[in-house]
Amino acid sequence: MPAVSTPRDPGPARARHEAGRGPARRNVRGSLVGFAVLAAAAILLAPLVGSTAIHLGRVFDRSIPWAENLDAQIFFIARLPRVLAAALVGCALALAGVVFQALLRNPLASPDTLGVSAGASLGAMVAITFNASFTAFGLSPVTIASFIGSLGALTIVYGLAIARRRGASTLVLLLGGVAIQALLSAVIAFVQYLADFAQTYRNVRWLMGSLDVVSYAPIVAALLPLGLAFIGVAMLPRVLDLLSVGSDSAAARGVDVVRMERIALASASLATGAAVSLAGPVSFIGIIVPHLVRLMVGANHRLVLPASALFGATFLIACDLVARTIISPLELPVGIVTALVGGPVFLWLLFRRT
Amino acid sequence: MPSANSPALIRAVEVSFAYPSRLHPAPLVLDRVSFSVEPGTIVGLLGPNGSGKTTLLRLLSGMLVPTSGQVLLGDTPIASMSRRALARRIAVVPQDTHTTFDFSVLDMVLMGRYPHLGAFELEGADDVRLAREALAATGTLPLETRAFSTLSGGERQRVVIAGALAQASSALLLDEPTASLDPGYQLAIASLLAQITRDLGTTIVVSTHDLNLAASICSRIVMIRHGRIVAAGPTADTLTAEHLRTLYGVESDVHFHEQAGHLTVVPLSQVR
Repeated sequence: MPAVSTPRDPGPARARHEAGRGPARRNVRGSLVGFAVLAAAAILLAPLVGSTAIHLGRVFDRSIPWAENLDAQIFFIARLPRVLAAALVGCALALAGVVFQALLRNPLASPDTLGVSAGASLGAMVAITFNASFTAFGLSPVTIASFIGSLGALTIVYGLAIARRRGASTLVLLLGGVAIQALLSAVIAFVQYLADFAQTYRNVRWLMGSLDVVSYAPIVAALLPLGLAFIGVAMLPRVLDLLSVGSDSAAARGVDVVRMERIALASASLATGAAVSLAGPVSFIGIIVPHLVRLMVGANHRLVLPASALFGATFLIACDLVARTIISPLELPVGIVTALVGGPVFLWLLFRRT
Repeated sequence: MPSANSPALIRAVEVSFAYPSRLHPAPLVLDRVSFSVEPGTIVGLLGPNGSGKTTLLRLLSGMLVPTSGQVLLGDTPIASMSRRALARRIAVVPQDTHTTFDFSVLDMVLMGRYPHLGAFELEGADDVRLAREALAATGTLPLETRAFSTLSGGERQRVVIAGALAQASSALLLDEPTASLDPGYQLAIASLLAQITRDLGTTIVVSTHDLNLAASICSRIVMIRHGRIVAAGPTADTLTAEHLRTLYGVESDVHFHEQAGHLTVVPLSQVR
């Protein structure tokens, strides 16, 4: 029910008619089930597409032994990890986008805005360039370093935002985020300058954002931070509604603003860190998916949050499908596709609203 | 209308407040302000721009903490109450409300239910019923499914008041609720506030520059200038030409208006 399409004064007749129809919440379950079915279909069908054609029936045919079932092997070993990674990354970035937009009361905010993505990228660059070799929980050094980077960037920006007042200043979060992002980009360039030829190649490839995931290990490793982020986000639907209207009015309605802002920022950053560590900085998902979802389900976060998570997964799986197949057998980094799709969609959204 | 819990007695005791500043001592926005608001009455807060009215309302709602002195709700200092507990007793209506996203009117009112729900809990049928009752009480039920951002200023203000009613608190603080409204909506808000106090026994503190609004609904007036109370008492004794001269530097004619049934104020000239 977007405001843009509602005439300024629909008149009493129309208003009565709308009120008689009851609130939109009746369709809540229905639309969420729709989004879930869409995401499940994407996860199941996307692995069927590729340079070698396979059939869903054969994949799940129990009568064929695993060793002889080439379709199942391609499905489960070669393609499903990548599709699952796309689902998780899309889901995490979309959720983070919703949270950042509500917190900053700015529909253009995204995981990139606070410098969180840039922080993660810098971490990965450092790990690649200096051949870091530490591991923990079976995670690669690049993953761990990008995680540390994202949380580090957020800590700096948040520290700036609360330095001069109680509760975070939205303006400082936004502008401080832009400044930190620019600063981190310079450091990233510097680190790349120090890198040799092979490292530079890996660095550039990583920065393009790619879902070149060939095993389940990194996915399993990302589940812990994502799980924590989900628990945090589950506390937020009503809080984000209130905070997006204003922190003072939220406080007057009983929200412990400082505490909830911290939970929201930490959850969104964990989600972003997990996503970036899996796929690199995939752009635009965090902006476009929440916008499209709001057009479909309205502004209420109890719908926007789950719908964005599901639609984000579907959207990135679809983008990755294009990336894998459009110039087959070459595989494009998915970041190129999301930016190519995302830019025009974003402009369309922008002009549609004004 | 959603029923409020027991009527609230609000007391400010020697409340002083200074915003953090590099100056020492920091300039006081409010200087040892004391007054009390009897349960179930409407008190008007008058004063020139920058006199400290908004700061005082923010102190009464617990949004700010006094530099010295305290605000009491009944016998409990509000500084000792959690945000949640406080929100169940005191609701706030800001001067203007803008939304980033296109919330429906019902969504906006349901937000008032926040302090009554658990951390992971979502609004249920009871909350929707209470929100509808609040919409009905403010005459905005037909707007239920409209986008809040498409409403006029007067409709918006009534929906925000409905949100405060859905909060089911026993006290309501309003900061210049009629500041940008046309005369029709000014009257509508005035009678709505009077009705809320009459029907629910809600204690109301309203800051305003609209002297006739204050005269029509407030049983008591508190006048603030430079952070100090210059006059306080029953409206009939306090809303006088002499006090208005002290308060605003304005000569005015204060008369009982037979038809309106309350005092009316006509500002005449600035005092040289």
